[in-house]
Amino acid sequence: MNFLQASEPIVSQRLESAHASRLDRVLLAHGGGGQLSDELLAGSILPRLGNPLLNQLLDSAILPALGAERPALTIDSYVVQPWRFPGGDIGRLAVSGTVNDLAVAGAAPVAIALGLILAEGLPASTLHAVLDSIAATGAEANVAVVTGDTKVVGRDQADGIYITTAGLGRVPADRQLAPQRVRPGDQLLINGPIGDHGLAVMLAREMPEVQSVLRSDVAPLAGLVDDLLAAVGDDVVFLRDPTRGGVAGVAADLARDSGWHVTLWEEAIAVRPATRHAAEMLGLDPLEVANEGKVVAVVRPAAAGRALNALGQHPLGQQSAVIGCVTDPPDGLCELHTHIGGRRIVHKPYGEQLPRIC
Amino acid sequence: MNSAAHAARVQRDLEALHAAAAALGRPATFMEVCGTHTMSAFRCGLHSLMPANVRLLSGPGCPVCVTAQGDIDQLIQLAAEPGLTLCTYGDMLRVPGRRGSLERARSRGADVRVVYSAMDAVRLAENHRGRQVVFGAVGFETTAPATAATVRRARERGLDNFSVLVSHKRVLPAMEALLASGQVQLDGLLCPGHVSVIMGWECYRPLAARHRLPCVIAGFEEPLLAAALAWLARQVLEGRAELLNQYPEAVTAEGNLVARRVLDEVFEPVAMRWRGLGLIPDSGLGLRSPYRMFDAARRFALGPPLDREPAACICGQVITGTATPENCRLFGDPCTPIHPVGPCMVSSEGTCQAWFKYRRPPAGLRRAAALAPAEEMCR
Amino acid sequence: MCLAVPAQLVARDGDEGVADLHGNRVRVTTLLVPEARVGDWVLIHAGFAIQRLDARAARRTWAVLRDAVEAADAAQADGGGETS
Repeated sequence: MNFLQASEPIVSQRLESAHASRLDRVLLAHGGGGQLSDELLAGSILPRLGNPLLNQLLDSAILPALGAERPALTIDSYVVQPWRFPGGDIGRLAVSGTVNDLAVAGAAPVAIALGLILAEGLPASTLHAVLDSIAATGAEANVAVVTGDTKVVGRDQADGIYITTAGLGRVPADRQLAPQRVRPGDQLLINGPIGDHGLAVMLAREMPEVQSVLRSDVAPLAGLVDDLLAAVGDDVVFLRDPTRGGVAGVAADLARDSGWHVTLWEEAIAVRPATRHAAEMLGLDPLEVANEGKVVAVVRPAAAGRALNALGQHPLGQQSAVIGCVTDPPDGLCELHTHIGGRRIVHKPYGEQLPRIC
Repeated sequence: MNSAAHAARVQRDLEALHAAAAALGRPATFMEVCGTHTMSAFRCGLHSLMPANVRLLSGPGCPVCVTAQGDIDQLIQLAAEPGLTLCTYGDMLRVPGRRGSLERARSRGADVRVVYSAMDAVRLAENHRGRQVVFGAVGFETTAPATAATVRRARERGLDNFSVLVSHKRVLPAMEALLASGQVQLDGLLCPGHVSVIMGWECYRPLAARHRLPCVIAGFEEPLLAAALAWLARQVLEGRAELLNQYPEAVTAEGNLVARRVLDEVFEPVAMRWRGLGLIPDSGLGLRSPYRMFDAARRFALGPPLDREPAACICGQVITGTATPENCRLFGDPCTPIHPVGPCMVSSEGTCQAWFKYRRPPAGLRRAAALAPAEEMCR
Repeated sequence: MCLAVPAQLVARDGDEGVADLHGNRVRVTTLLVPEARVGDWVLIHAGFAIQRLDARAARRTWAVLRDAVEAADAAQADGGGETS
């Protein structure tokens, strides 16, 4: 239940006369904290993100107590280039990324703090599109922005728009998701095909002349994870979202942090044909490409069937699959069983991926 | 073909490979001469499926890896020129020269652009007539026709602000030099698939005959690699030295004649220095005189490239199959994909990078030298 | 040996064209494959189409392999013949 709906709307005195936005482009003065800042808030930000808490425009938002549940806190910055890509934009990415970081900690999202760094000259249309995305994605995840900050920097800085989002969540007292709980026999599940986000963004950035059916999978997964935890409870022992570094990064980290051997089955890991071919074209391995709408779940073997079912019932869980398992020996290695029956080691990828040509 | 049929075919080919290897009794060594084959073989875990007495070596098939350090230094030197835009394929961006890389030069303000096509460089030159645009032309015969077509277009359009630093190489002379040197004893060759698209498969016949080697022009789908190896093993077992085109949908006897004509119009064979193999006659491409005004080395009066390979780096031996990455005392520490010493580690088709990524346990797990035999897995 | 991928030519205008790779549309220079027509499959490398692909040959590739192994079996009996 969104607690924001329960409280009375209180509108700050500063915004008695809210104008419709006359914003054409962002100016340095919009970040100065003065009247132009108020205009930006009133004309652009509040109409899109407004809610009883945010509208108070206090320096800090006071939230209801969390009872017996533990607070979870996460923060991320988003600097994606280009700001808009097939399937989403930096606004959707920011909210989804933060919600998902909370979700994989077993936390339901409570509130978001939003930091915007805008470059002077940013068109109003861009800012408004991003804010609309933030609002829409928040609504999907049933979480709102309760406090924020806007700064404006020089024209050539910030590549247009940078976003930082901190997310507060709440975790049931007895929930424990950690690599230490992982043991041989546990199964690795994922909620769909991999590689879409990273490749969609990479194509959009490196080869903008390519028209593609590729779309980022960016989406908030709070509801999906909720369904999974409701169905399987304590039999989910660990969750991670395979963002930068992809499934390879998550699996390699899991092996290292749990100390066990992790095996992935190439045949079981779905990759859309367009994604696979874009990866081939750019010389990349889908296993190492970022996803923004995927979660890897480690579950007890007896619960794998129910877990798969729960994921599959959710719109964001189409093509969910069991993609690997945890075994002896305790060597901290991750290996891939390839589609020709071979075996090779899976590492966490190293840094920025360069499109390969020749 | 569906997955089950694929899997069954691969099983059959692997069994045939193992049967031939067992019947042979003695060790056999095959070499693939194609960076893409190197990567495919490692990515699909082919090395984990080989018979114990069959070795698959990687040869000088990675154009980035065989580029001498002096050539890279020249690219970096040009990139630092004011008013100059250096266009390069992405693979070259992080290759270490004597003092840093193109990437490092870019971070210090050099105008370095990664292009996917040589034509992008010419378009850049067309749109920015006030700047000098140099294209770093690296690659084998697969890529050289694109450069040739691009230089021809620059000439047609009178783009006097465009030039090319040519580092294109021809694979056959290098393969010949390697075999003639006796440095490595081979029983068979997997020939480069995409070079063959341009050059045709007939061009391997003299080399195959001279050295009595079975040769297969292999396709790139991973199951086809298993089939190629099975065929080679059979050939060795039967004492044959035939030539098989396993990539007929793309490779014909004479190759792409249009591409070969463009190549021939713009380029001529010249001696070129290969990392690990030294100077090989006719192994590189140079611009013919009607096109020499587009030679960046000339235009910018670059002296001959200075050759000084980094100390202790044995990329040259790795490229020729005379050493494995693990023989290199720099391998893994300090030489890693993030901090590469030599090109074999930074190139995405480099043998050292392939070993590092797919065969070497992550740091801190050195005790597991190899994957333990596969147990019955939990599914 | 450089990365090349098969794609279908969906547009062509003189020396330039557009290739489709399972839904990704890329601009390619087609002057190295003057005979390629819209609908043909081509091999794309570094922004150029470098070869027109023979679809029938592609389907036969597996058959070629099977035949090569079987031919080697047969040839062992009669002792000769080049494979290509």
